[in-house]
Amino acid sequence: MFIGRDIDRIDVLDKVLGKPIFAYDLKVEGMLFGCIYRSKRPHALIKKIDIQDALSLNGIVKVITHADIPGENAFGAIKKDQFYLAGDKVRYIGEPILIILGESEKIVRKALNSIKVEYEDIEAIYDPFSSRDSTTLIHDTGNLLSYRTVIKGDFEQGFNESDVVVEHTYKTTWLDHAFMETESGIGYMDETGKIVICSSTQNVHYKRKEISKLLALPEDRIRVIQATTGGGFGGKLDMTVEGYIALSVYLTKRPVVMRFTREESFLSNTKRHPLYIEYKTGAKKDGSINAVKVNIIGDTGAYISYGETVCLRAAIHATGPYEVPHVFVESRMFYTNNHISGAMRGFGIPQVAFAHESQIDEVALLLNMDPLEVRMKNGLRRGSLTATSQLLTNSAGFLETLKKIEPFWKARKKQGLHTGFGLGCMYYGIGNTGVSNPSSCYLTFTDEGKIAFHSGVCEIGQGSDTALLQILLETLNVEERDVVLLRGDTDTSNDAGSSSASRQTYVSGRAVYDAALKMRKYLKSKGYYDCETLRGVCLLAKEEGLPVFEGFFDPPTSPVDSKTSQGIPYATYAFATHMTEIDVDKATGFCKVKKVHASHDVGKAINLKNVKGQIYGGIAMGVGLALMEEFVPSKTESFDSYYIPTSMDMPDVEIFIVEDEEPTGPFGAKGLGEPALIPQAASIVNAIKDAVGVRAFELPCHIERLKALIESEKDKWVE
Amino acid sequence: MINDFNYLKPDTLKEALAMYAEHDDCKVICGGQSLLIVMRQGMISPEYLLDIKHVTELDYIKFDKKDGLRIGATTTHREIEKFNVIKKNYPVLVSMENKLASIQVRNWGTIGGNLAHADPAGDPAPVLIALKANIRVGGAEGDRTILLEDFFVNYFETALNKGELVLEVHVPPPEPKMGAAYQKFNLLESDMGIVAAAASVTLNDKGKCKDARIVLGNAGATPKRIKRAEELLIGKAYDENLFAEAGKIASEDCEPVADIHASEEHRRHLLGVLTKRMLKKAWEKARS
Ligand SMILES: Cc1cc2nc3c(=O)[nH]c(=O)nc-3n(C[C@H](O)[C@H](O)[C@H](O)COP(=O)(O)OP(=O)(O)OC[C@H]3O[C@@H](n4cnc5c(N)ncnc54)[C@H](O)[C@@H]3O)c2cc1C
Repeated sequence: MFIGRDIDRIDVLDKVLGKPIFAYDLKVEGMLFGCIYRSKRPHALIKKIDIQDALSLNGIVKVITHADIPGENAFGAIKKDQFYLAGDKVRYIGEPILIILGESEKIVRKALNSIKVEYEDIEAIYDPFSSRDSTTLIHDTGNLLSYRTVIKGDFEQGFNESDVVVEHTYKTTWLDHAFMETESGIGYMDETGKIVICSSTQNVHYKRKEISKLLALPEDRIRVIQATTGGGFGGKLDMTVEGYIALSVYLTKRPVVMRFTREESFLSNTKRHPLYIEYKTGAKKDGSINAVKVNIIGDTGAYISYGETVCLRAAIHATGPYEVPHVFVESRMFYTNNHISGAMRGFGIPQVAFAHESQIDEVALLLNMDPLEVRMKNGLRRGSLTATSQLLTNSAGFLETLKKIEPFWKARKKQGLHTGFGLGCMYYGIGNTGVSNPSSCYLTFTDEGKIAFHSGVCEIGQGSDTALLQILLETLNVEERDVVLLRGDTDTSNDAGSSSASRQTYVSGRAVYDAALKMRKYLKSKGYYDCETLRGVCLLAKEEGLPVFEGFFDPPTSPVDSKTSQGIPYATYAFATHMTEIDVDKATGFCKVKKVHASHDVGKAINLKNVKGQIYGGIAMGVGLALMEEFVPSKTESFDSYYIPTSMDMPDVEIFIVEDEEPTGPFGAKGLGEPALIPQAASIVNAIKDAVGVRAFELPCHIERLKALIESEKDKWVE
Repeated sequence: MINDFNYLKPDTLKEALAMYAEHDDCKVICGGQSLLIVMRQGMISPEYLLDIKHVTELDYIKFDKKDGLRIGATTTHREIEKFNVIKKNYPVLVSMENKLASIQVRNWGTIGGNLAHADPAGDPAPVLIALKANIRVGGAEGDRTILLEDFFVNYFETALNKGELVLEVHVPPPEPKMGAAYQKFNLLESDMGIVAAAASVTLNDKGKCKDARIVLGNAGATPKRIKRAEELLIGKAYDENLFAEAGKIASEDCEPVADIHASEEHRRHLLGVLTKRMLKKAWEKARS
């Protein structure tokens, strides 16, 4: 039995021994060092670029401009709107303009300072409201990137029927992924003339496609390999170093390495989208939520990245895990001259969860009801219709997550002077929204008589290697030592899609299961489950020309309606409830997160340790989102000016697992990576309200903000 | 990026002082926990680094009831934290060290390096000044002892002359009926403090305040004594209002600056709160 077992991650021993070589540490004989020269202006025309001084430095080999690009100077996960190297215009501080290549990092960094660029400034736009109203266009297509609506029922009628209405505006800011390993990789030309890129990444097949367009080379001339990767969180989905390295190798025919400093990473990587959320909730006396109207305004920065995804996802999830008959959500994403915002754990849902969970607590307060009871009353369950009118027929364990927390909620007791308890809940659609997002893999045999597991899934620390292997071992009934994993290499695997949207265990897990079923049939036909050894089967297989067993899964979804977003955007949803205990020091504004009870419906916990690991990590990120993390453009440069919780700032955590099995998932599993984070900040904000009577409408609710809130409410209550 | 430099590794103090006098563009490195950061940021790029980590003569902790405590400059934070005699006689030093950075940093960083770095947010200085510590410094020509509170001149600037090293910190013997307390205010556990306050209170036989010290961290260019509040306490009996008054003075007399971590206003407020709390705590310790 491998499923549900608490087995160690397959990479754990090597990692604690320091054996794996991370992308940042990769080296190749004779490699050049590459650095990117970036725009120092937020919005400007490039008038002149002078690279002569840089070129004259001893050790500088080449300076690459947009004119050197053989193929298309364009990339983007959703739409190809981003330039590898800016030509005539820059749209944000940090936009790449040149690549400088030299014999050493030192000389290349020195050369950066001798580049001279003449700009002609254009008015810069720093927030989505100015962007909406401005006549200055950031792109020819206009400043509105995306407009989505979710319409169900009749919201006006819904509010008319409501006994109470709660209306507030919520605001969040930019966050950095703050992965431990900054963007890095190497590239070289192999003996067959193939361009090989080995980098820190969350996907390989997508990047191969982009490089093929960039270099105007067929995909089979390019190979992308995932190096051991030190974290992603959405920040390594987009092209980071890969295109630049590939272009440099192509143009110089020499191996090239690129490693971003932490400062460069903060400056250039995508951020969490700041969202501005106007939220109106109507409820009846009995606590049932009758109508929700939401207006979301987002800042996607200078280019799209995942801006459209976040725009739609935030809209679809805006009601939270509750059944609401009348829904009207508008969501708009505007271009600005700020940093590009992109994918970051939760794609906009941690932000909307902050809003809907604050709202539901305020509804409970108005109706003098227990917040848990209101959630229980409205919670999605089997037979519920979501905001997109999707009928939940299976795996909808939300109420179970609430029930796990209920005894602790009821027994809660304030120990400190300003102790508070808060609830946060969420639901999250697993996989991409209303589009096909398939995964494929294949199995065969090795010469040594083992099973070769060819997987395109990038292991970014979330534990997918182990979970997928467990699914394989369980289905085949073989041992770990019988399998060789060949992972994250476009030459040895099929496209599994990105490690994003909490989709790999669910989508790729099912693909592995599919392949394994086929191989099991074969093993059985060769007598493996009777008396034949694996080695024996392999010999037979060899004679038959090594059969290959392909696995495939594409979650059953349907595109959502372009006007109302009604439809089946996701095949399955994860659900969770967190309860958080905090202590506030009223005199200083300091909020200490003491304890979290976290309950998650994961469908099936393939690996309990991994499940717990994800939840611990999600909570840590949630503490940061609620209380500390704030990327301030032009001010935040490194960790010196960006607070994230350390292990010492972690609260105690108690975890409860609900397993409402998902029939389309492997052994009933769904996803967990993002859900682990989503409800945490919301539960802290609600706990603050409970502790000191003030509600935060802006995140992070850092110490000064909290202190100011406490001060502003001082006269209204007695100590 | 860190610049290329020449590495000097003396084995004895004498050798170290001679090398230091001889080389012009030379920086001392001990644990490197502060120096390497400023080098990496390119803020300094010395031609020579003089590594005194191996000068074992400066790695000691001595205690004598009459003379007090002497800590050699290359003694690590971790050694101080783990030294039982310090725990018994100067518990505030141990609780301060406990919250200084992480164990990894405390294993490398030294008391001499910390004080010489003169970061106004450094933890040891306010506590040591509250305990009336001296610092012994010296060069090839000889050594001198000065009050620690006079050692700090400006942001990251000390009274060290060219060629001089920090040699030793000296803390007078603990007085009877003396209590001390320290707290930094940080957003992350064990991070550098946004602000900090140390207080020491000595009581007379009648339980009234004989002597008091209030020293603030990161409340200006150097550790800052709030003498106006200290004077207020002399001769007074335990009184929470008194502590509040002292806190108010501290928030008036401090000179913090705003940065991305906190506004000036909030820093003043926090310094007031911490002063009040630390005085109360120190006083209660002095009584017990
Ligand atoms: C992650 C991290 C967190 C930290 N957190 C804290 C904290 O919470 N509180 C705190 O107080 N500090 C903190 N620090 C700073 C650190 O504790 C000290 O500054 C450090 O211990 C200095 O000692 P060092 O031996 O490493 O000095 P080095 O880095 O080697 O030297 C620092 C400076 O002192 C000079 N110097 C060193 N020794 C001598 C000497 N004997 N005589 C003359 N000059 C000398 C050097 O030339 C240099 O200018 C932190 C550091 C890090 C890296």
